[in-house]
Amino acid sequence: MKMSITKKLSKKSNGSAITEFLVFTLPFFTAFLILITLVQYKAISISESNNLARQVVRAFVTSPSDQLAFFRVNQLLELYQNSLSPAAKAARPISADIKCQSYPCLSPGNKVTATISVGRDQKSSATEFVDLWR
Amino acid sequence: MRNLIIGKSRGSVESFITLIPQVLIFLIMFQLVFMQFGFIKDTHTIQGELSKAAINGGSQEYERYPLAGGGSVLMLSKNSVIEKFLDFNSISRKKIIAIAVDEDVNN
Repeated sequence: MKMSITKKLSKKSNGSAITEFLVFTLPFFTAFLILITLVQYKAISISESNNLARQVVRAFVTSPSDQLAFFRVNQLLELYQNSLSPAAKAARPISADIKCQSYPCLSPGNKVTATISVGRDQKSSATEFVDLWR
Repeated sequence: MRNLIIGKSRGSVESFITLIPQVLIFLIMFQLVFMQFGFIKDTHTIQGELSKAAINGGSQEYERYPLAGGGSVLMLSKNSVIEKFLDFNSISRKKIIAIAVDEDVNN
């Protein structure tokens, strides 16, 4: 077994060096480049959606009234999106969805959940309770 | 061109010629991974610092935007330099954005 591996390694392989480079290296490099881009996109989306969900729910539950709460959420998202580059804005569209355990949303002790969608498949949620003494 | 692709290359010089671009390409790959992790690290660090300033207050250079109905949002937009180990001459910059709702009781 050991002999056959040594034989295989020391065996001469004829062929063009350029062809070997094109056949072996370039496909690996292309696949790796795609993988790196996808990993970066996913990592940014996760970090962005987690943070925005937390901030959005915070802006929502600290609102003085139900009417202003959704306006505050949109204001926060717009502020964030306006600071992004046009390419990032197009690649990762951001949307928010707010769910309340009972209505009106801003009643004392009510549970509010904000879900942020970034891009096509990244979603994050954050939950907070409305202040009991409001 | 045809001879270059189908032709046979034998000898140590040819193998060295093949090895140089392969090593370069693998170094570029490592650099890309390194830069990517550097960018993600900076994003989390800056967001962490801003969140800390939003809770405890601080003298960081952030912008404050008022929210409808009271309170404010803190935003930090920073151009971060990404470290490189292959190309030292050109500096890569990336814009990092952090956002946090102000929770400091003194504001």
